[in-house]
Amino acid sequence: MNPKACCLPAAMLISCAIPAAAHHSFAMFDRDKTVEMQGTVKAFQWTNPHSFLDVYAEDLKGGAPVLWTLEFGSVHNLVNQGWRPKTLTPGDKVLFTLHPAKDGAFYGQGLTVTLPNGTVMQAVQGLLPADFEQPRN
Amino acid sequence: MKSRRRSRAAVALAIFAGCALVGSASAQQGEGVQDVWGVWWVTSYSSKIQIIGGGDIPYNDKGQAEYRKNIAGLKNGSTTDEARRVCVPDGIPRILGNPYPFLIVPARGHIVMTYELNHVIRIIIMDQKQVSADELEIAPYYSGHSVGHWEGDTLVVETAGYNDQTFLDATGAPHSNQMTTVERIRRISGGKQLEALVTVTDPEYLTKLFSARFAYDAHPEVRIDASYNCGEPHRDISHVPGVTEARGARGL
Repeated sequence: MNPKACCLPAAMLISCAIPAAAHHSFAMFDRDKTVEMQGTVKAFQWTNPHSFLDVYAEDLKGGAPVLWTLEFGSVHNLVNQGWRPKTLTPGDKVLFTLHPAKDGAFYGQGLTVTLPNGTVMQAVQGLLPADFEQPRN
Repeated sequence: MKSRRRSRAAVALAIFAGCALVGSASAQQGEGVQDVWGVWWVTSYSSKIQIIGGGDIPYNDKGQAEYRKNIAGLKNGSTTDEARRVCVPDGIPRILGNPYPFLIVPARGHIVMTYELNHVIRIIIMDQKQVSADELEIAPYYSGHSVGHWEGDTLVVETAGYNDQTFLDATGAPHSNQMTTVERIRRISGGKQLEALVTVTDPEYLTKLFSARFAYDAHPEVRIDASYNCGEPHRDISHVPGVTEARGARGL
């Protein structure tokens, strides 16, 4: 084992793009603004309390793609809207909409993702009627 | 005449009793009975998983491409061995061949395997059906979902619902989330060792299933540090055959 490679404490998360998984409110997102972009999936993290999509958004002005992170709801919330762990895989070309973070970071509350086959996946957060059915992890 | 028959019967009885005594002695040592409990330590370490029958993992084109990508990525730093960087579980079968000791504990309705490396804990649900395919798909685990049952003296563990975040071994050999495994675990060598035979099936990356075998020595004197994280000061494992070479080649 290389001691240098393992000097990160276990508590540190894997990617800097992912915020600490503490309780936070929706107030961090500007819900009066909806941004639509297209790009290429880098990674889709299927986990609780929030799933995340890292996506390289195309710059319409022709600049280099910008890495955006979209935050979704819980696994249960996504499953109830038809999502699965492999709904998005690295390399997928997608269209996506979000409420951007108020502080200007390349981060937002994910609203919809249009898959390569044209299916529009919804990612409504807050309680859905189906959330009152059988509990899940 | 009567006394000769009686003495022959007595001799036969003595021999029979003697055999019965010998039989129960080996049962007490642990072989041939349902007893996989205690602290175990692998007899040797290899950074590349040793396939039964020799050779390489039977990857199809997709699996081979992913393997080549991992090897290149690990070499140039673009791919991280997260089990050794942020201490997430090794996954199966990698944890089975790891060079740190582990403990198998019986519980009511469960068997618990707790590995010192990365504080991996595997809970084997005994004599129950596996959860639904839906549950396996939406709740993938690093160590999968395990159900177990006994077949004679052998503990059979069937696992599915793995995430695809782990390597099969330290060389970066990949697997998909379609992988399933079956382990057959039992005492051998008169009860002084444990054997684990693992069969790996992965319809997405493999052309056929493969198996590997791990042997462990009993170490009842070892007390597991169940809170050990990778990268921190740890017990000396340099005596485990294969570790020194692996460290030199950075393949642990």
